[in-house]
Amino acid sequence: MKDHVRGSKTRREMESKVELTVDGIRFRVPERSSVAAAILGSRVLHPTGWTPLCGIGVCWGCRATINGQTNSRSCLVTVTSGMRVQTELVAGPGEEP
Amino acid sequence: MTITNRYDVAVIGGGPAGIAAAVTAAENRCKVVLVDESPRLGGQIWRERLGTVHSAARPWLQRLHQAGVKIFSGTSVLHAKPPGEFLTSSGRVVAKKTILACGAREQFLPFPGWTKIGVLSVGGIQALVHSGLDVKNRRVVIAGTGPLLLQVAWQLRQHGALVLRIAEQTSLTKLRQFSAHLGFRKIMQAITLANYRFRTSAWPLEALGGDRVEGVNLQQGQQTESFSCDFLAVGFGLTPNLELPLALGCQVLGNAVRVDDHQNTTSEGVLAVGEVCGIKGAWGALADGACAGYAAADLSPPPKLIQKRDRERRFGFRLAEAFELRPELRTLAQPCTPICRCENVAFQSVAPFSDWNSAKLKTRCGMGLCQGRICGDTTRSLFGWGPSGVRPPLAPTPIHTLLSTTTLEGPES
Repeated sequence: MKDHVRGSKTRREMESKVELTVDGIRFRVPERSSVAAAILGSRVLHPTGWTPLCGIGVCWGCRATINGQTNSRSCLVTVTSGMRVQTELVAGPGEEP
Repeated sequence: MTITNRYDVAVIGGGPAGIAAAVTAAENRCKVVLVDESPRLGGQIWRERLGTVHSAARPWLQRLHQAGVKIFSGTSVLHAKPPGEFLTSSGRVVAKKTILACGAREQFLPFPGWTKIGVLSVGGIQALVHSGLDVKNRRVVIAGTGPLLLQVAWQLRQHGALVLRIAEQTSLTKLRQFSAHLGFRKIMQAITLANYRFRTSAWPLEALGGDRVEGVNLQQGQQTESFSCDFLAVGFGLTPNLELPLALGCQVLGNAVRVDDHQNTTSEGVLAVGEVCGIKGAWGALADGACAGYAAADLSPPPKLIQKRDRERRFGFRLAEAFELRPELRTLAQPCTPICRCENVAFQSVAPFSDWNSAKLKTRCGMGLCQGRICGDTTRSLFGWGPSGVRPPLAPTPIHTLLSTTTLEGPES
């Protein structure tokens, strides 16, 4: 059935994974995932004050520091290998050196 | 001062409406630039799924490339001057005419616990699943209103989620009236999608749990019911993205940009298409877009296209009627329920004010990162506060981006 084909295709795509570090915890997620999807789907992470809502970059609830860039909307960023993410809120805008 | 018009038409927004507008204008000999905030074209409805292009989008994207439309993806508009001068995060864009296709966002109504992790919008969980969120064997409750609830329920099941309840706030009577206008096939589809977990006159009362959502209480007619769940997806309909239309001086009627038969707004040289001039879905957006594409090329849209566009507009009116929010939904927030999520401002702090601006000044409601995109809509719905003017930059922008975008984009290679 069509649905079955779609399902198996997704699984095949899921096989290639990338590793990233979120709040000091290293884990692997399917490549092409968004950072927000990766964090939300994890059963090991327990971010506080990180409250994604819209998933499309409107609400900024999923903002995180991604590779040093503060206040990045993690739902709009695709994971890359070795990416470092912090979910805690950093006071004030700007970039880390 | 003379400004070189680098493009004939600038299309802002790369969903179905924007793509159709850009394709039609470019195929009619306009030099077109398409600016889109997402890293990939398609908007919300034609969103890529882990890199796979939506099947309905494929022919349109092909035409877009063939027609030679210049595309700026992942680009936010920071400032705009009518009719077509834009400061974007990828540089300055200048065009003789603008077609606004900025789409819509979800509207939210606050209820206790709506700020817990795992409480997502229905569109949000859909977008996140498409971008890799694993919902296999996760328990999901879906609550709110509109056709999107059923569509998302179906998609979540496809991804292995356990959808425990679909709570639709509208009444069965209204839903029946709405279905009567749809074709038989659509009704059958709706019934299949709905199944026995679907309830009408049902809505969320409270999300339960600690930091993360663990359950939900729902109102179901006269009774309440509780579910344990891993995700709660809520959706209370869509509302147009009006920031850019307002910045360009377009008149807004109700919640939507006012347009004439050729999609012209009240601002000279600015057209608007798709959800931004009234929620009606992707088919309506495509028809709007094509009409505006012709109009921007100084051509009359074919009569058949205009008929189609008008039919879809009427569908939009029926949609609004069928899924009108019931008054009970506006009384869900408790005194300590956050209204502004960014700045954590509670209902009791905001409620005493009489308008949006004074609430902002005194409480910081609406002054956080989202710049009132969530609580602005919420307070409009709860208290009837109107939108105030918009000021640049339209999105929070790092200073180095502002500094680097003061010059016109470089010559094309």
